[in-house]
Amino acid sequence: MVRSFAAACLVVAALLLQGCAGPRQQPVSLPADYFATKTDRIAVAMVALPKPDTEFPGAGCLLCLAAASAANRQVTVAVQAWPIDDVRPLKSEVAALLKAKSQQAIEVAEPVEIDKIKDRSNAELGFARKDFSSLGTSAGAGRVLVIHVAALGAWRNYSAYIPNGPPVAVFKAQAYIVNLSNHKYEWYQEFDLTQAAEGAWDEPPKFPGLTNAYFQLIERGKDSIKKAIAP
Amino acid sequence: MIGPGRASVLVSLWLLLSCEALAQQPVPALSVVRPAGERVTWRGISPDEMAGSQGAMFYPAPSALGFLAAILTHAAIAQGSREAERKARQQVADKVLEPYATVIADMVPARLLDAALGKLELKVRAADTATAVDGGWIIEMQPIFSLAPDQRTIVLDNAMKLYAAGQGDAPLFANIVRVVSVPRPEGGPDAAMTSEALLDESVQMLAHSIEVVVHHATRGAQSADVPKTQRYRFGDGEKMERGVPFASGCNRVVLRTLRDWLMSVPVRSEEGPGCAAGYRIAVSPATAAAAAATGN
Repeated sequence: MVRSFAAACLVVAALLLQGCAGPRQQPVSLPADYFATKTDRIAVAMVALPKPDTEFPGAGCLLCLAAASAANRQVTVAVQAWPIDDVRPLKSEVAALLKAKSQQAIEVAEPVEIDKIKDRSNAELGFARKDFSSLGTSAGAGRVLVIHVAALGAWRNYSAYIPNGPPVAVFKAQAYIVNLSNHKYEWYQEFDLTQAAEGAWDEPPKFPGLTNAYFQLIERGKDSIKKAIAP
Repeated sequence: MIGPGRASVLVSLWLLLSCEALAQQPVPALSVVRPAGERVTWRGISPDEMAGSQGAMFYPAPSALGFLAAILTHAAIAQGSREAERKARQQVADKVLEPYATVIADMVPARLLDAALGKLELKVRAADTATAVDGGWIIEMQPIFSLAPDQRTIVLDNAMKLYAAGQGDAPLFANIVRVVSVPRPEGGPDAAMTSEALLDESVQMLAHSIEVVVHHATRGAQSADVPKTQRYRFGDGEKMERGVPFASGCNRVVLRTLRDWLMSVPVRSEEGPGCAAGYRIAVSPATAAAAAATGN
């Protein structure tokens, strides 16, 4: 009786967990002749930037997370003060790259509040989950290039209570082109970059080595996205 | 006829240039203490160091009872393991120095400094000890040179202390001055690093580090210090450093880093004025930009 109850619990837990983890969008490569064959207007939008913060992947239990947060309190304070100004020019730089490729690129002035954009019903893999029609309408464009920097800051990997190494600066982003007539991805790429501090990292209160790594990584992240569009 | 808008720009520029001139103090009599030791320290730069990556360690989750023991064990093993790994990596990286073993073995710090002083426009005396100097400013230093794996770039990390005689406990500067050489051209007649080139570059870089630290000490406080992420040439690629640029010249930018180091880095020719001499610094980028904007 007890065994069957435990098995039922495991099955329910497995089903719940499976429900949480949706299928992941795979990269959609940009055809070499893409910009030569597409001539309609393209809106260039950037999702509102996240605030830099720390994360401790691997500190799985609540007590582990509390211990990791407490142990890294000083670095968290420093990371939360990191500016994001150097990321902002990316949208204009991407628009300029597109214009250099004879594209009619129109910048969407305001940062996109991605959570306020409604989800599309029955969105399949290969198609945008969000309905970006309004971005295209305001710019008079048939396509939209979205730059979504999802995470900035410093992450430190843990095995429960034990840090696996020093914190590293992180830059996680997705960039994609959506055809607004059917919301199909014409390009989709993820950018998952990290950068360690040169030399020592544990230099409170300002953590200059880790802060330098963050600024280096912003440049690398921007370069990676631009190179993906214009190799 | 000068309009009011243009007049205000000219007045602002004049004030800016005046402030620069006032801020740039004259250099007192300068003495450099010859560094101790029989041989200049050289090391190879490992590929990991080039990439800015570090190894990670993975540990199983400890039980609640073993929590404290695990942390202590981790700290001890991690430290020992990383130190052993670092030494092993350094030994491999140092192999890049083998072709230059003879010239490095003969590179005596005091002799290298004497050669460097001959390259300086500043009038500088060499002294064997700080106590032998009777006035002015004193520089003490301990240089370490590194060579990149492609043998095209040299990095000098010079631990320098600049202070007024008798005030060694209140230095004007006490930190690292890093100088990154211009990468040797790939495929050209000057591509290969030779022992002679290594020695000549080392002398010039050491002289430049003195110029940089003195320039920094004499420039005084500046109001327009704006940090930026400076890109610079390193071999075939590019590196970046966050800091406040305060001087430029000879396709080179000098900045104060977040660690308060001074760093002189080579930049692409369009980013700074070029010149025939290898290492020379001029006015601050702000002043250079203001002058360029008015065509002066």
